[in-house]
Amino acid sequence: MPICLEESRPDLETAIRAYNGRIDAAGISKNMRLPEPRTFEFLPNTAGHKLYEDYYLATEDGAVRGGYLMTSQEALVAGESLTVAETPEISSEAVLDRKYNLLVIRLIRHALARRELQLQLGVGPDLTRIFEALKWRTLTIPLYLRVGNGFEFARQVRPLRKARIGALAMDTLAYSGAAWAGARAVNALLGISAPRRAVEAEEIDRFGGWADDLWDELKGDYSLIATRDQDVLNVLYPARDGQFTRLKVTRGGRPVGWAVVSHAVMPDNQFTGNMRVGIIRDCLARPQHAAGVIWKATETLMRKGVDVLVSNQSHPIWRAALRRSGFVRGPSNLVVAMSPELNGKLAAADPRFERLHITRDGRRR
Amino acid sequence: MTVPADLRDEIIAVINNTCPFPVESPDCDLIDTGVLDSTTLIEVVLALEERFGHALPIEEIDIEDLRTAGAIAALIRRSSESARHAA
Repeated sequence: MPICLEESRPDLETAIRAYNGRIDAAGISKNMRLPEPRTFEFLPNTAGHKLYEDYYLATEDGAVRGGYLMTSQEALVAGESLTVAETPEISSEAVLDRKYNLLVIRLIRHALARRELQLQLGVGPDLTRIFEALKWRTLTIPLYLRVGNGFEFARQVRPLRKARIGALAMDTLAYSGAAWAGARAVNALLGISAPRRAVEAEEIDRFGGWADDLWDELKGDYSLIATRDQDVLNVLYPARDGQFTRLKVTRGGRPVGWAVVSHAVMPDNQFTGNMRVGIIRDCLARPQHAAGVIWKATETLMRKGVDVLVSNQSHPIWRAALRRSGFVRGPSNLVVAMSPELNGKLAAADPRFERLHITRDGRRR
Repeated sequence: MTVPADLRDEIIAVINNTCPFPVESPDCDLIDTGVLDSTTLIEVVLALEERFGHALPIEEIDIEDLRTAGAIAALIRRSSESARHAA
C-alpha cells in the first residue's frame, strides 16, 4: 500500500494516537510525537490570520507513519512582507522501521511545495545534516547565559560539568554569577552597569496599539523578522498562558520596547540539571533602549527566583545588550535552517546574515 | 538488468564522498554493515540525485534498492530511463 501525504482529518485521531503509542513504547523522544487534535490547540487557518497552522500526515492503509505541523506566519523578509513557514517537528516512523527511512525527504519536499519560504528553528543534529544535503542554509543562533542564584548554580554545577555543556562554560557562568552577586571589581571588569538611559517596565496581560507603533517603526532595522504587532503577540503570548511574562518597557511614560520572558524547571535537563531556568524569549526595542529592555527582563526573572538565565539572540544589538547585563556566550544548540528560496532572498539583502532577528520565540519551544 | 561497471564505480564514489566508512565492493551490504545509518542513507540518496541530475522516485524506493552499490546502480539506471521517457 503506497504512503499518501494528506491533511489531517478527525477520523485519523485514533491512528495518530497509535503512532504516538509506538513512539512512546520505543522510548523515543517526546519531540517525535505528533499532535493529537483532541488535546492540541491549533491556530486555525482562517482568512486574515497572520499566524496559523496546517497539519499533514503520512498514511499507509489507515495507519499514520509520520507527519508535520506547519506554522505559517507573516514576516518581513528583506523589506518585503511575506509568509514564512516553519515545520519544527517533522516526525516519521523511520525511527522504528528503516523501511520508512526516506519518508522524511517526502515530508520536507511536501512542506516546501506548499510554502517555499521556510525557516526551521531548533533543528536537531540529524535533521541539520539532511537540510544541508537539501541545500538549505543552516546557522547556529548564539546562546547567552547568566547565573541568577549562585548557590543553586554551585550546587548543580558538579553534575553539569559531566554533561555536554562543558566545564569551560560552567567557569564563565560562575564568573558572571559572581558579577550579579555584586562584586564591584568583577562588574567593572565585565562592564556591567545599569543602562544609562533609565527605563521602566510593567507586567502586562495584553499588547496594545503601542506595540503596533513600535513594530512599524522598527521592523525595517532587520533583514528578517517575524511580524510582531499586537495581533500576533497576543496570539503567541496570550494572557491565559501562565508560562509567559509580558513586559512593556517605557521611558518617561513613552513605550520604547517590550520583552517576553518565561521560567520553568525542566527536570533532569541535560544542560541545566534541575535548575529554575529563566528565558528571555522575545523582544523588540528602539536600538538605544535594547540594553534597558534586557536589563528589565533580567531583573524580572531574578525577582521570580531563577537560578540561571538564558537567551538566544542573533542580532548584534541584542547580543550586545545581553553582554551589558552580564550574560556570557555559551554553547548553543539552537540551529536554524532556511530553505533555498528564503536564503536567496536574504543573501541578496544581508549577505553576511547580520541583521536577522531570531530568538527562541513562539508558543511551544 | 545489467549495470555497467563504471556506473557502479560512480555510485561507490558518491557513497565514499558521503560516508565515513569506505566501500570498495559493489556487493558490500551497506545496511547491515552499518555503512549507511538512517541519516547517511538520506544524504546518499540526495547526493545521488545531485550527481545524476534527476529526482529519484522516493515514494517507490524500497530499502532493498539501497542495500548495495550494485542495487543502487540498478535503481539509478531505472530512474534515469524513466526520467528520459518523461522528458
